[in-house]
Formats: sequence, structure tokens, C-alpha cells
Amino acid sequence: MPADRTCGCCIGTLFALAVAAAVGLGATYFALTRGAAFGALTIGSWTAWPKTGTSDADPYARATIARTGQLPLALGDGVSFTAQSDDTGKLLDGRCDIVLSGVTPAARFWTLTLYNGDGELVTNSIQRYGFSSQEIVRYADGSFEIVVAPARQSG
Amino acid sequence: MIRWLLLLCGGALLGGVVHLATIMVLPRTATQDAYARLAADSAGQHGHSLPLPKPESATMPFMDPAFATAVCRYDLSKGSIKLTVPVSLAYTSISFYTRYDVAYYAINDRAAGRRIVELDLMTVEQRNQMPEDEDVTAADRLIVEIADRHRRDCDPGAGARAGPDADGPECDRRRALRPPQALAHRGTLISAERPGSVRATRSAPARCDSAQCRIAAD
Repeated sequence: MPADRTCGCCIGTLFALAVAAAVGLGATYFALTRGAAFGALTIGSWTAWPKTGTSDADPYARATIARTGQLPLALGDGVSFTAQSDDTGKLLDGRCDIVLSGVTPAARFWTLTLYNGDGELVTNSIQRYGFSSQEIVRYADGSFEIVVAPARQSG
Repeated sequence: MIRWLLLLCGGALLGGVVHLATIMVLPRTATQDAYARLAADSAGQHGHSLPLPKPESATMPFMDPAFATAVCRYDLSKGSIKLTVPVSLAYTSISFYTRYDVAYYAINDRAAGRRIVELDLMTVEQRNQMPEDEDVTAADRLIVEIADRHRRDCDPGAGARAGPDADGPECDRRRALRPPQALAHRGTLISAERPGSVRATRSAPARCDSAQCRIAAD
């Protein structure tokens, strides 16, 4: 009987440790791959984490930065907004034409860049990876329109 | 049955601890963070320009192709840093990062108000050692002070990012409107872990020339 009890206790401990490892590492993995951090600022489809660019960055933001290997944009430099879906909530798909239009953001200088999920630029035949506020042509009312499409279009 | 439920709950609680511990430890153990990538990429501690990101090769993820970037790694334990960044036509910024890639300070060209941004980066002790009469007078230089309680890991880096590249993908008509040099610059400094506070003051030229870090983007 004592041998049986020791064995049961052993299995119980292993079970608890296995649960701990699965829960802990799983939660860490999900938190980092989903880009979780506190203080998210959401405007339509666009999300920014302004605090990530300060020394107040929370541990989740710090871990995400370390894992991806990026340098976050410092808050005194600017704020970067990211969109992964369109206005209807559908994920952006490279096979679709995506129209980005509206009024210029109220900023002195801004850039717009297309990345894939790993933060790499997207290959294209004209080597156009993004626009800056100095490059776009605006309509008379100050709005602009950028079309991201898999094939060349006129206009 | 109840025993297994208890074990499950205990395991889940312990999992929470594991989760928090891994999140806290990860920045210290990451082998491919921005600092490691920049250290592998740059030879010395002097400012050097990073190649523009391309789809097949980029120094770091989420680099902005509209900016030319120069980076300077620095170590304040060997003395203060002098930084000189030329200002471009559109936009120039200089950002300071800790060893673990946390941005703790940044300024842009508007704060500089001149063609060239000159910055001194130093710890509070180094600041206190400066002669009194050089304090807050000539409005010539911007001094960034770091109250740094954790200088053991002090092997930071710095950099400058500069704007739209002249060789960038442009149609000819628009390209003709563009000045030959970069339109915007961005500087990046990566520094000691967790500076407690940073403040910028204008002051006369400092004489701490050791560990000089000049950044000349493009």
C-alpha cells in the first residue's frame, strides 16, 4: 500500500506540473503572438499602443518587442497604428483590392507601409512598399485615396 | 475525483506564475531582439547607417522604408555621448532606447530648430561633474540626462533614421520634385537599462569628448 500511495502522489504532482506548464507557456505564447499589451488605442480598424514607445511600457509590451526583434516607435517620435482588417472587420487579404481613403491624419509627417504578418515588406514589381505624407496627391477637399491591389491598375 | 480537481486548480494557479515569470524573463533572454540584431550588424560603436529594408532582407521587422536609419550603440559608463545629426527637409527624429529596446526619450527636428541637431547624453553623475559655468547658458546644445540605477548592463546603442530615399520607387514626374538627399532622418539611441528619469536642458557645449558618437545619416 505505501508504494501505491507514493506512486499516486507522484502522478498527481506530475499532472499538476504538466497543467502548470501547459497553462503558463500557452498563455505566454498566445499573449505574445496576439500582440497583447495594455493601453491599446483603437480607432476603427486601426490599433496603436502609445505606451509601448515609452519607459512606461508594460511587461507584455517589453516581451513582445524582445520576441519580434523590432524597435518600437518612441512616443516623442510618433505613434504607429496598425490595421489587420478592413472597415467591415474582414482580415486584409493580398488577393483583394483594398482602398484606403479619407482625410489626411493631423500629423506633420506620416508614412503608410504594407507589411506581412512577420513585419516584412511585401514584394512587388515596382518596389513600392508604402507612401509618406509628402508623396500622395490629395483631392481639393484634402482627402486622398490609395489602392492596394495584387495587379497593376490605371490611375 | 476531488483530489484531481484540486490538482487541476493548483496546476492552473502555478501556470499563472509560470506565465508571468516567462513574460518577465523573456526580454533578458531573447537572443534575436533588436539590440542583438543591431550588434551583429554594426562593427563599432560609431553611428552607422542601416540598409533600407527590403522584402527579402531587413535588419529588424517593421522597419519603415520611408526612413533612412542610422544606429549608434553606446555605453555611458565610458563617458558621455555627443551626437550630431543633420536635419533633413521633411522630418528628422532621434530616439533613445535602453539595452532592452525600450524607448525612453525622443526628440525631432522641430525641437532642434537648426540644420543640425547636437545632443549630449550623460548620466546624472557625469552632469554633476560638468563645470558650473557651462550650465544653461549658451543655448547651444541639448543635454539629455539619465538617472540610471542599473548601469551593469550598460552597453547601449544609438541610431538615426532618415527619410524617403532618393533611390526609392518613384515615378519620374514626382521624382523630379524631390531633393536629392533624404527627406527625413530618424536617429535611434539604444542605452542602459531602465533610466529612471530623463530630462533635457539647453546648455553650453560640454567637454566630455570620450565615447563620441557621431551620426551622419547619408
